[in-house]
Amino acid sequence: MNSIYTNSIYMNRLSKSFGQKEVLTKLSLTVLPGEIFGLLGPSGAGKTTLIKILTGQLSYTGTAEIMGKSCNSLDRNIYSEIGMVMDNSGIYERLTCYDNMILFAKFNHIKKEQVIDSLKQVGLTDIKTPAGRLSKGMRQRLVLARALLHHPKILFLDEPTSGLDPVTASEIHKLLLKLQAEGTTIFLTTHNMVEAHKLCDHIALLNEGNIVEFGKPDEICRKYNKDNIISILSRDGRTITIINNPDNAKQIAAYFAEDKVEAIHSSEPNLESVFMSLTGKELDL
Amino acid sequence: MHVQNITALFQKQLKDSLRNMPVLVLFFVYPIIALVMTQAMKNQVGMGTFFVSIFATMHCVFTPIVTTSSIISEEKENNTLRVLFMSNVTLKEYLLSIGGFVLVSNLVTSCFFLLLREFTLKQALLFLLAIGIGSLVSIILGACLALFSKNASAANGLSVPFGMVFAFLPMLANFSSGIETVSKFTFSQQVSYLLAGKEFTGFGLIVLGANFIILCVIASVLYSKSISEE
Repeated sequence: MNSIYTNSIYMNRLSKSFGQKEVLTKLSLTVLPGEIFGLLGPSGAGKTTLIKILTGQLSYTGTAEIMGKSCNSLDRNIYSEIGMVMDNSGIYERLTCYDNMILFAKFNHIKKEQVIDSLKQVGLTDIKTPAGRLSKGMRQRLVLARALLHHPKILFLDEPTSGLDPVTASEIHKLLLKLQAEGTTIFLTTHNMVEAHKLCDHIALLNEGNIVEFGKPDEICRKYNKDNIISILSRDGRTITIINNPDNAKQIAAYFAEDKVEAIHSSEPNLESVFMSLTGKELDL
Repeated sequence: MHVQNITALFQKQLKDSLRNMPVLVLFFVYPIIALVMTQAMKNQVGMGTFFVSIFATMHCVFTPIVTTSSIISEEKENNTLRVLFMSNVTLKEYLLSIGGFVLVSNLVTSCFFLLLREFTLKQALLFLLAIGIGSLVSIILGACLALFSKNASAANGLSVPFGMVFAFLPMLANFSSGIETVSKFTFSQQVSYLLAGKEFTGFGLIVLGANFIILCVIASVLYSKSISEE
């Protein structure tokens, strides 16, 4: 597929219902090539459903396009352009990691050397181990290696670090940033706001099938920074909160002049508190 | 259709089945039982032929039904089937590779029966042809059961009784002409006749053809349903 496209993912008034229940309501958003886009929302918000729609697994109403192609009529060849890591991405448990990878390498005419490289890329070195004996973190690495095997232009990740230890999660984060630097567009769903803030260029907050906020993580946090408070931790251990306005500038400067400041923090809301203020719900449900 | 996808899946299935004891055992259980029975009753005239034809029938009916259904339903349950479809593999390629694997495995392990009694070359070839026909129809039946079932346990729950009915009917027909009146309309009974050394008959070919066509129609309906769900 060599067609020219402006947006990696584009959707306009996209809706999806299961029977009478509408699970996605008139979603509109754009994901640009080479960016990491995060879709945040609690369980049941419709994140996985949206990935299934974008990868041609579910029908919908409205407009949804991936690399300029309508998601309702995706050609099978699209699957050589995208990679997916879903929470239920099956692996052959009796086969070794290497054999799992070789099968998919053959579908895509990929050489064995590349299989080894992909496994090394995600830190899987014990390639002769049957996949069924891998820990959850290692299984996730194997699924990620499989998704990266054919160098996809767009990578869909559904809760990629859910349930993983911090070290493994951090290594996966590094890998995602490396892939982004190489030009891969990454669409990830998560309910981990720290992960979203750390990785994503843009995020959308999804609640009950509606996008309640969209933008850059920092900009969203600043937008909802209504209290505009500065916290000063003084050398004697006290925390002093001051409203950040010109009237208080002299008072803050005085603390510095008197060498009383141990640390100073602005206190913008984080994504979770923004989500809570918008929906009344917590993200990590 | 990509031949490379079919061969890759065939090789995958071979490696997987070699590590899957329940499936592996199924391919050997009836030849081994036949060996034990023929050895145990080797002094009785005609029992070798009887046991070989009975257990060869079970081998080419029960084994493909249960293994095909088990393999496909396990892939459905573990979500690997969906991953395959998202990797440019079509359902047709998948079914051909799994069916091909079961057919070849069944034919190879059937050769063991050839050692248990004397065969001329023509008889041996006809015996393997009958095994091939029986296995092919049984594979389609097993695929139907897997496509119909929601998960592996449901598929096993269906395939075992289906396998037993079709595999045991010919044996029971040896003892009851009433059962044979009914069972002669099934593919397994006709295959059993061929494995016992009887010639192809017009009626037998019609029954085999009708069973094959009916199962193909059912498989097509279930296949279309799976494609739309896919």
